[in-house]
Amino acid sequence: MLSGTAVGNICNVSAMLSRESIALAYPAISVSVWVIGLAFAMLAGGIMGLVVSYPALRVKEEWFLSMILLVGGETFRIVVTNTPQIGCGFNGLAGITTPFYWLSSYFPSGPLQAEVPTGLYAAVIVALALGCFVFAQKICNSPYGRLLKSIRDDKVAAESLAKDVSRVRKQIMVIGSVMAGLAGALYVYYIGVATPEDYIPALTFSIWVMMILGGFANNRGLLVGTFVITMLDRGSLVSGILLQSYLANLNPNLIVYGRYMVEAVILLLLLVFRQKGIFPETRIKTKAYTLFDFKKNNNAEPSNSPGEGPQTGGAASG
Amino acid sequence: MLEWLAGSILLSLFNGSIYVVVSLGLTLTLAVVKLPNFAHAEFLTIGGYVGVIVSSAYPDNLLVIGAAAFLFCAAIALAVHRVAFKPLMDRKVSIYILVLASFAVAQFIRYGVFSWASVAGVLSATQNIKVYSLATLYNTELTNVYALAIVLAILISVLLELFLKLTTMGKSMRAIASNFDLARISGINVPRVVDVMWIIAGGLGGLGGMVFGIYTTVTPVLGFNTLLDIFAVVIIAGLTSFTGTIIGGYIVGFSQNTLMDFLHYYFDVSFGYQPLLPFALIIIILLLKPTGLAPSSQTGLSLIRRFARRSSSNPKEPEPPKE
Repeated sequence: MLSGTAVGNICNVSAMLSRESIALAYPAISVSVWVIGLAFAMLAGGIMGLVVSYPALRVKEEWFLSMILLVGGETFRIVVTNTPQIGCGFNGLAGITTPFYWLSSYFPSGPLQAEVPTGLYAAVIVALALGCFVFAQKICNSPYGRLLKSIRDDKVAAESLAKDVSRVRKQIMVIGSVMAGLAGALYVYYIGVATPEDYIPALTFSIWVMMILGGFANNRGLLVGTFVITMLDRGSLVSGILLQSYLANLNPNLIVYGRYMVEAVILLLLLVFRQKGIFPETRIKTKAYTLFDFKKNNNAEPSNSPGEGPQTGGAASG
Repeated sequence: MLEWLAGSILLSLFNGSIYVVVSLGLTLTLAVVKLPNFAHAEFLTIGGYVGVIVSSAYPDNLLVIGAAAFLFCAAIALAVHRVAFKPLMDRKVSIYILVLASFAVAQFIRYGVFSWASVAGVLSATQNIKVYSLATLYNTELTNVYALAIVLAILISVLLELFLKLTTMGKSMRAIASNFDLARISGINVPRVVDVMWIIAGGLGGLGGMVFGIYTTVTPVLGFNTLLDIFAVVIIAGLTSFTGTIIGGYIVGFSQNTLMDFLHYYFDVSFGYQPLLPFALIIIILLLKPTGLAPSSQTGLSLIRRFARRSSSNPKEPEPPKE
């Protein structure tokens, strides 16, 4: 492998095997490398978000932003693919084990040997995802979240109330990118290989479909959307394997391509028939909202409540 | 010295001509229906594959192959408009939704082509069109593909200009582009004009793809790989300017080939970074002038005048007007 020798032998097979043996022998190193890796992934994600937000937030037309972000993603992919010094180039870095790979030495044989470390790691991922969800919910139901919604609905109005719109947009892009960096690091440790070719725009597209399926600006809807699309993804893989035993002539690629086509159709149907997604955006639960419980008393407008009036009034839009 | 230069310039002209043919369709879409169609590049793929199929039946018959590519892509574009974009536009959705929808259409077409090509065993195919040398200049062969692309770009530009300036349909198209409501009030049959617009836009995409497919191998990602290049062209053009599109096409063509060769031979930059050059153009243009270069201008001359005005009215360095 040409790139491996040029860089210093972190890309070749012997390096991959030695990584695996180190992960098996030293639990402390294995876990601490994982933690450091996650931290750096979040940092790198945040920096990427900050860099891309510079041009993206300076464009005037709305759709330029999506194009700048597409350009940013593709730039990163092309740079990583063509620079073997970063991530071993096109072939990527293999032999990344889960942080609990060393547990397999306690189970000498049987299915548990592979399942226990992976299962434990999957549980850690679920826990972190839950943490991210709670964090996102906290943001959404805080004054900062209401500020975000106000900027989304009317940028000029938010600006007229002396809100620093571009700063807030930059902040939220960094927060989102940090989360995405975390997700990427967790994913790489799970599948065990990091190649730039995994992160094509079709992946971004899947995430859009998840988001819109659940409903714009709706974290709980996002959970449902993610679940549905992930089920579609996994289901297509499983059904592809199952179908192959019945239909010998079936082209396995068709299942993969068909999945992407189904996602596109779902998105188009949603955009045409149900733009708000499965769960439309709801009110933000402010303190006043939960105190007075406006659901029982429909006539009372949130803005009539004493004390917290202006905040809830702004939150009701949506 | 510079033995690569002649070939590089010729390749730039060829690539630029393809970009001009394809981007003129996108400029038309942006001007008339104000839609940044991210599915436009997929017409290139379809055109390439139509070329593959038809050229196996009619080898070297450029007229038949070109007409087939144009008509098939026009039909696809019309279908896409009727099925996906028209229902959305009738509801007056935001441009953000339209961009998402165009991404969905692009994804559907791309993986549809992937599925078909995978079953038919043509994931990587070539067109059955003979490439031969017409002349040799400075050790560089001017093949019929290069000549075809350059002639086609000139022909399409002239024909489109004449169509927009002289025919009633072209005039109505321009009227819709400048003011949609006013055009409707004046009794222009807007749906029909928009249909014709889609036919031209899709057809030009297919035609460009077919010519590009003679030069290169046709794959299902042929169009997607040029998507951002085409958008670089229209952003340089300021989205709706046809003269700007012609200039922008050649700017992107030259940056991708001649500038890339220059960087490769003098600064040892790998050819793998070639796609980054149009990206850099997009970012630079959008940073210097976030609304695009000339959003309202129709001619290259007014673009130059605009820049002259901007530079002379710069508040930081007041310069006396040159008279």
